[in-house]
Amino acid sequence: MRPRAAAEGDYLLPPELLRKLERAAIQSRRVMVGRTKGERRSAKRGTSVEFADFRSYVPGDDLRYLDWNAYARLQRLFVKLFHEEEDLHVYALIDGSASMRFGTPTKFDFAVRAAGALGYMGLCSGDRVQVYARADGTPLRSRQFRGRGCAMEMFDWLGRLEAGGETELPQAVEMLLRTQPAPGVVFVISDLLSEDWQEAVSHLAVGKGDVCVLQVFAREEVRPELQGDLRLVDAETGAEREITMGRRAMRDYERTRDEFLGSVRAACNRYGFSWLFATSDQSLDDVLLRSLRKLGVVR
Amino acid sequence: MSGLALMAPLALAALAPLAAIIVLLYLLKLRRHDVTVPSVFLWRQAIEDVQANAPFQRLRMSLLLLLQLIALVALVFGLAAPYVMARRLPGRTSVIVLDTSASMNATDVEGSRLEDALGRAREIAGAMTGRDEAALVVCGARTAVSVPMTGDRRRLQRGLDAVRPTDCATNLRDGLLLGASLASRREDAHLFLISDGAVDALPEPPSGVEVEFIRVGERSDNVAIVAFEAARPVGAEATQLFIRLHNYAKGAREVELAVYLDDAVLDARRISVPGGQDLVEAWEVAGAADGLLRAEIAVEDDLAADNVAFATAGAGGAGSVLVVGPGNLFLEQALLIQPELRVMRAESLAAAQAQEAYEQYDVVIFDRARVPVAPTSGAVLLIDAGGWTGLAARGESIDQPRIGSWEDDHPVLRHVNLAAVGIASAHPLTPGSGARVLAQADGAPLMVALERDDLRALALGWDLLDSDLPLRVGFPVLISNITRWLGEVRGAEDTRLLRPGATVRYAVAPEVERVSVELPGGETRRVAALDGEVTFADADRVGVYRLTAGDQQLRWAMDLRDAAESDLTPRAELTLGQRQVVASERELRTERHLWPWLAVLAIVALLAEWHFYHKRY
Repeated sequence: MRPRAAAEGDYLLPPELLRKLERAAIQSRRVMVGRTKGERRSAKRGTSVEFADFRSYVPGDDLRYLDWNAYARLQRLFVKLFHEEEDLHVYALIDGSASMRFGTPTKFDFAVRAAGALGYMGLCSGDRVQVYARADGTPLRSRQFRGRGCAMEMFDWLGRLEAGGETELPQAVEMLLRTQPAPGVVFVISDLLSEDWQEAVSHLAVGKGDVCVLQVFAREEVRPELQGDLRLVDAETGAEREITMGRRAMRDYERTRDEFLGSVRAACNRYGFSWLFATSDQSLDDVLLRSLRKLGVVR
Repeated sequence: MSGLALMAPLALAALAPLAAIIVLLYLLKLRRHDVTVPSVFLWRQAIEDVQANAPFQRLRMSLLLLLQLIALVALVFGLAAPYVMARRLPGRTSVIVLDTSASMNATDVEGSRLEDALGRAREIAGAMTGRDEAALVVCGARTAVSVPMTGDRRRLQRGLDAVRPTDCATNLRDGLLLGASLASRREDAHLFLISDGAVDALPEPPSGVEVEFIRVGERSDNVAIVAFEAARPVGAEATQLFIRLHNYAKGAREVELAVYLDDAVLDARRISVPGGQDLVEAWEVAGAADGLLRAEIAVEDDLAADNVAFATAGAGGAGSVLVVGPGNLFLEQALLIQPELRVMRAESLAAAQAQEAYEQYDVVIFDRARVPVAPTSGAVLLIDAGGWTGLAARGESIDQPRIGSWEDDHPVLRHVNLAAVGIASAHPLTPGSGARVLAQADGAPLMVALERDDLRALALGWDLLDSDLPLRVGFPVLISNITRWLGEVRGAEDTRLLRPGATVRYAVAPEVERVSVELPGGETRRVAALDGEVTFADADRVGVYRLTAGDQQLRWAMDLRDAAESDLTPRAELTLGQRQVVASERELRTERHLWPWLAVLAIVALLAEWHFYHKRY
C-alpha cells in the first residue's frame, strides 16, 4: 500500500511509520457504543470472549451462555454476560486556517499527516474514521472510512486539503458535533491561536466523545527569531501590531505564550480532555507513538 | 584647579542644531518592517502589557534620547577643546634640591622663605602622579639625600616635614651635583632647585637633566653685622672693637648697636646705616675684655641670624697662638687650618714681653728662637729652641736619627706615626725634672713633654725644616694635637668661634662616656664620647653652645658673618657653568585637556544607548 499525498506526489506517510501504526490502536478512555461489530469493547453486552457480569436467567436467553458450573454449585441459573466488541468512531478535526501555514514543515502539513496517521491507525483497528477540516472558511467533511482498504482514499482526501482563511474553530467543532454519526474519539489538531479557542473547547465538552487536543506550534512560535522594529501582521485577520523586538519583548512574549499554553491545558484538564503540545518539526513517530501513548490515547 | 576654559568655543554653536536634529528624528515615526506572523494573538498581549505601563514606556524612550543627547553634548564640548589649569610635573623623574641656608630664614615672604620653599616642594610632591618619582636633596649644614628616589608621595611629604631651618652658608653646589647624579640615571629627569639664589656660580649639570630654578624671596630688607673683631695689642689698656655693618636695603636704617661681654653690656649706640652701604664702627672699651664678646643690632629686618656676631679679644682668649721665630711656612699653615686658632707672629721676644705673652696667649711657640725667660704658667712649644733647661737641655748635634719609639697613647702623639720620619740632624734633649720623654731615636730623646699645675710645655729636638715631617700627612694632626693639648691648660672653660654647620671636636677624659651640649635655644643634647673625643655636628644655628663633660667645659659661639647670606636680594637667574637659568615664574600648572574624558563619556553614553536599545527593548 502506497498512500501518497496527491498534491506533492510524495508519500504522505513513510512506509516504516505505517508499519508501526498498524501495530498501534486508538484507545478511548470511555467505552462507547459502536455501530457494527468491531474490535472495541462496547458499552453493550455482547458476544466477545471478555467476561463482563452475571445475571439471572430469564426465559428466552441464549442457553449457550448459561453458566453450568454455577448451576451445579448453587442450583440457580445464571447467564454469563460478555462485553460486546464494537467498532470506534474516530474523528480528526484539522484546523486549516492561514495561521497553520507557518513553520517548517508547516503546522498544517503536520496536522494533515497526524490526521492521516491517526486515521490509518483507526482503519487498521477496524474503526470508523472521519476527517473534518475547515479551510478558507469552508467546512469540509470526509466520508466515513472503515477498513484498511479505505486508507488510500483517506490519504487522497487529506492530500487535497489546503490551508487558508480564519480559524473559526467553534463553528468547526459545532459542525462536527452536529453531524457526527455517533460519539467517538475526537482529535482536534490546531494551534488554537484565536481568541475563541475557549469557546471551541467548551463546545467539545458538550459532545459525549473522548477528546484529544493536539496543539501544534511552529518552532518559530516557540521562540521567535525576530529583531528590530517590526510591524507584525496577522496572517488570518490582517491585524497589525507594532513591536520593538528585544530581550524585554521576548520575555513578555514567552510569558504570554506559556500562560496561553497553560490555560489551554487547564481547560482541557477541566473537561477531561487529553492535551498534547507538539511543534511542527517533531516526528509523528515521536508525537503519536510516544507522547500519545504516554497519555493513554494510543496503545 | 582653576576654572574651565575653552580653546574652540565656536564648536558649541553646533550643539543646538544637532540636538534639534536628534529630537526631530525622535519625533518622526519609526519605520518598521512588516512581518507576517501566524497570529498576533500572543503578541498583542505582550504589547498590552507594555501599554498598561505607558508612562514607564515613555520614560524609557526618553532615556535613549537622554543618552543620545548626553553623547552629543560630550562630543560637542570635546570639540570645543575644554581645559583646566592643573598641576603637573614636567618630567617623570623629579629631584628637589632644597636650599635651607641662613638666607632662607628671611621673613620677607609669608612665614619664611624656607616655608615658601617647602610649600613649593609640597606642590611638586602633590603633583606627582602614579608613575612619577621624586627625590629630595636638602642643602643645609651638610648636603644629604633626605628622601631617595621614590614614587611614594607621602614619603616625600614626610621628608619635607622633617626639614629644619639652619643658619649655615649655602652649599648648593654639592646639592646640585648630588641631585644631578640622582637624576642623570633616569630618563625625562627634571631637577627643581628651590632657593633664593644667594649662591656663587654653580657647575653645569650633566646633559639630559633639565634644571628649573624656583626662586623664593621678594626683597632685600636686611641690616647685617658682616665683621666683628676685637683686639688688645700687647701692653694696651683698652680693647679695640671693630664692627662693620652693611645695609642691604635701599633706604637708610636706624639700628641700635650694642656690644656685650658675657651678657654684660659694654657699650650701646644708635646709629644710622645708609642704604646699600657699609658702616664701619671702631670702638674702644676699657679693660681686657677677656671673655666672649657679642655685638648685636636691634632692628626689624627680614633676617635675624645676621644681627648678632661674636668675637674674643685677641689676647687672653682661647685659641690664640704666638709664633716666635724667623718664620716657618709649614708650621703657620698647619696652625691656620685650625679655624679656632688666632695666630700671631713675633721675630723675637724680650724677657718682659715673654712674660706677658705667656699670660696673654694660649700657646707660645718658640721656633728656632731662644726662650728669654722660662714660663711658670701657660703653654709653650719649643721647636729646636734652647734657653729652658727646666724642660730639656739640648745636646750635641747628631745626624740622621731614626725615631724608634714614641708614646702613642699620649694626646700629642695620637694618630701620629713617627716611624719613617727623615731627620737630617737633631739635638738630643735631656729632660728636666718632671719632664717625660715622648719620642726617642736610639736612646736619644727627641720629644719631651712637661705638665705641671698650670703649665704645659713640649720640646722638639730638631728643626722642622731639617726633616720631612712637614710633608707628611701626620703633620697637621701632630700640630693640632699639640695646640689642643697645650691649650687645655688655660682654665676649665674653652671658648671657640665657629661658623654654623661646623663640626666641633673636643678632647675629653677617656673615662667620659657622655657629655651634654646646651644649644642656643636652651635645649640640651646628650652626646656620646668615643675614645676620649666628642664630635658634635648638629650645631647649625647662630648662638652660643655649651658642652659640659665633667668639670671640663667648652663654649663655642656661632655667627653668620656671611655677606652672601645676608644679601637677601632675590636673584633672577642662576649661573650653571656656561648656562644661565632664569628663575621660573610659572607655577607647576599645565593645561589639562578634558576632551579625552568627554570622548570617553560620549562613547559610554552611546554604548549605554546601544545596550538599552538592543537588550531592553
